[in-house]
Amino acid sequence: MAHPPKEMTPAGEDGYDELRSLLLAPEQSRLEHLQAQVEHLDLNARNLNRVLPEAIALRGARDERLTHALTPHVSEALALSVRKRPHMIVDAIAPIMMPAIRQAIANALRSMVQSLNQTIEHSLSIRSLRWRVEALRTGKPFAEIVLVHTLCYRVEQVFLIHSHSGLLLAHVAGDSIAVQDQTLVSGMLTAIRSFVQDSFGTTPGQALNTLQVGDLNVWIEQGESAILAAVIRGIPPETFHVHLQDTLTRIHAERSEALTSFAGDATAFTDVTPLLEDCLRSQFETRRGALAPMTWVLLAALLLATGWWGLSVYQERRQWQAYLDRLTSEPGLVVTSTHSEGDRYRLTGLRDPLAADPAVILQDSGLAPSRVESRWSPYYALDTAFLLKRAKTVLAPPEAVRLTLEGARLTATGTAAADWIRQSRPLARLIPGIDEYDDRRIVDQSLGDLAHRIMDIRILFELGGAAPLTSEQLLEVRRLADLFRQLDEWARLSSTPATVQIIGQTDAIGRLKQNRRLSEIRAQSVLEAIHPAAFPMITFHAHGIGPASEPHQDLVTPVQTHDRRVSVQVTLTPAP
Amino acid sequence: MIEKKICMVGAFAVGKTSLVRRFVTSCFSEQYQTTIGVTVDKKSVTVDGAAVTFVLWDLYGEDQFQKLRPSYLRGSSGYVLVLDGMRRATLDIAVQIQHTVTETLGPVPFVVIINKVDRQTDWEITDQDLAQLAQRGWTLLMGSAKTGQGVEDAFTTLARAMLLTPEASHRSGEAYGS
Repeated sequence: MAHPPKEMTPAGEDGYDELRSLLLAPEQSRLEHLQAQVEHLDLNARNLNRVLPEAIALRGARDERLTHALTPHVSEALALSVRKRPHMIVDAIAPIMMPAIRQAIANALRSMVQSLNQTIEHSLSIRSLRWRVEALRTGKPFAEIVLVHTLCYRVEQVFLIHSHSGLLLAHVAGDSIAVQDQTLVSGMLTAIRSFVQDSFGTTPGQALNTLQVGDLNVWIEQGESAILAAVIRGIPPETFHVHLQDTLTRIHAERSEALTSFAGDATAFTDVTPLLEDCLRSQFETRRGALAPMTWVLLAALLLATGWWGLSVYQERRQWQAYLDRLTSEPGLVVTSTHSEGDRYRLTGLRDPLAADPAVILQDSGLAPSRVESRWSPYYALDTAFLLKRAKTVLAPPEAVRLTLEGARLTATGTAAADWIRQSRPLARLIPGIDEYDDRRIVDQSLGDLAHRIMDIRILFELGGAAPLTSEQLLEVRRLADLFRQLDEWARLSSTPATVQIIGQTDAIGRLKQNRRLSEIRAQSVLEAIHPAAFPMITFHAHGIGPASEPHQDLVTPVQTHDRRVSVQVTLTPAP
Repeated sequence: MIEKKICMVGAFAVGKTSLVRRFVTSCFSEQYQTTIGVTVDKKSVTVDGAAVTFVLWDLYGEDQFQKLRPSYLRGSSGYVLVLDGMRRATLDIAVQIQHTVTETLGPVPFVVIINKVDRQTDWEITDQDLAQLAQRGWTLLMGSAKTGQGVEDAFTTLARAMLLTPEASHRSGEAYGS
């Protein structure tokens, strides 16, 4: 390239330029072009930040090469940034993560509180004990058993399905619900509906609307372009049908175009999720705050019946106890065992035959005799009253005899016939509780009485009469012999020999010697007539004593008929 | 994520369920289990950078006793027509099925898999048969559920065809694939 001269005139300059353009026009043009390129490159480098976003957007729209190219560098840069400045990442994601964390914690707490409430509520009842047994038996957690039994219904999943293709548009599930592959469930549900409709349906409107498997129900609502299927555990109220229909109608209204043009991309339906979540309803068994009037009536009736029954039982128990107390206090009755079986009472005991009749006592107690079964075994009571009573029963003493008891010694006093004395002695020894029987006072008194009766008898004689005895005299002698027979018997009973003095007497008429002789004859006549050998326990002595009274010389002694007599003196000699 | 309903159709025992299992779980079982009604399965794939989930409706095989229920086909974005290369009769049935499906769904994309290519020497379906099918405009693929050969390709081909075809065009009756 040529160098220009140092000084030039204007004309020379113009000529020079013209010459230069003529000689260097192609090079000049090329130089200007290169300069322009250099200047342009300089502009892009300085202002790259202005065009870079648009450039990335344009490139990203064309294909994914930019994404693939940047991904490793972005990942590496992100990792490096997290390592170097972690707080920056924390600050960046905190606004996103915190609400999510709060939501998760709130859900967990809500579930925990609900579970805790139910557990506490059911922890002490009989029903809960039954459920705990079921939990142990089945190996399931107690909370799950409680949930199953207290759950009226719970909507676990809701599917929004494109009715034409069976493809899933949207799906929601409750907390802690095990979810299968929704796409497959959606497809199979549609297939099953098609099968049922083809097989059984006669019109397009007749479709499968309900499925039931165990306690799981699937309620299906059919719309023009979509179906809404709710998987429900338990049986919800019929009003839930209305809610499902309303939801489906609203989705059709709001997403009509998306439903019509659906070609497999379900992202257009993400905003219906809140509507579906509103279908995730549940209802648990709740305790009623107030009882129904009929329940109150039944409770009152039950309470009344229970009270009446309790009072009856109490009164009956009291009557039964009073009856037992009475039996216990009654002499001659011993209750050995008692027990009750249902409304019946049984007792066993010992009863003295002389004791009061338990049946009469039972009638007085107020208890129904049919409800008491008694078994009494006989025995002899040894109470004083019973001994005396038993002695009177066994001995049957005459009215003149009085029995007394001192310890085990029975004493009889008064008077009685010898036969009774003789019979009572062996009987008295057989009476239980009587160790000793004493009837000596009866015997003594009877002997005394008999002796007096004997001594009161006088056999009178005619004047000078002595033997043989007249018939009247023999009657008296026979009477006297009867008394001697009794005396002999009493003497034998009491082992008390008797000595009888038969004393003959005369009146005062006549001489003393003759009178004595006459009185002797009279005594001997009577003695012979008595036949003393018939009375072994009596020793007879007969003798005359002459005049019954001494004659007085100065006075005329009147003749006394009863002086001509034979009288008897009885002497009892107790055995040593 | 875009979901597409795809029906597996064909005569009975051609290997529809085995192809689905191979495609979804990469498994194969020699034991034959007939499909009663329909079985729904799914698999997510990425075709040309686009993620798509296939919801596969494996329909029971059609035979002389039970015909295809059109209600199962409704809403399908495409279908896989399966033939058994070892049974010539499955080809005739496939033709009938394709006609039925087209009447129900319209001209939606589909691919034809002639199954059991691993035993191609025993095939009854001849190259001439295949040529005639190709003349119908059908997309034919040889496959084997047992070895997995051609299975991925078949579904990828179908996916690509579906993604390229606007859904609206299915309803308008625009011809595709036949």
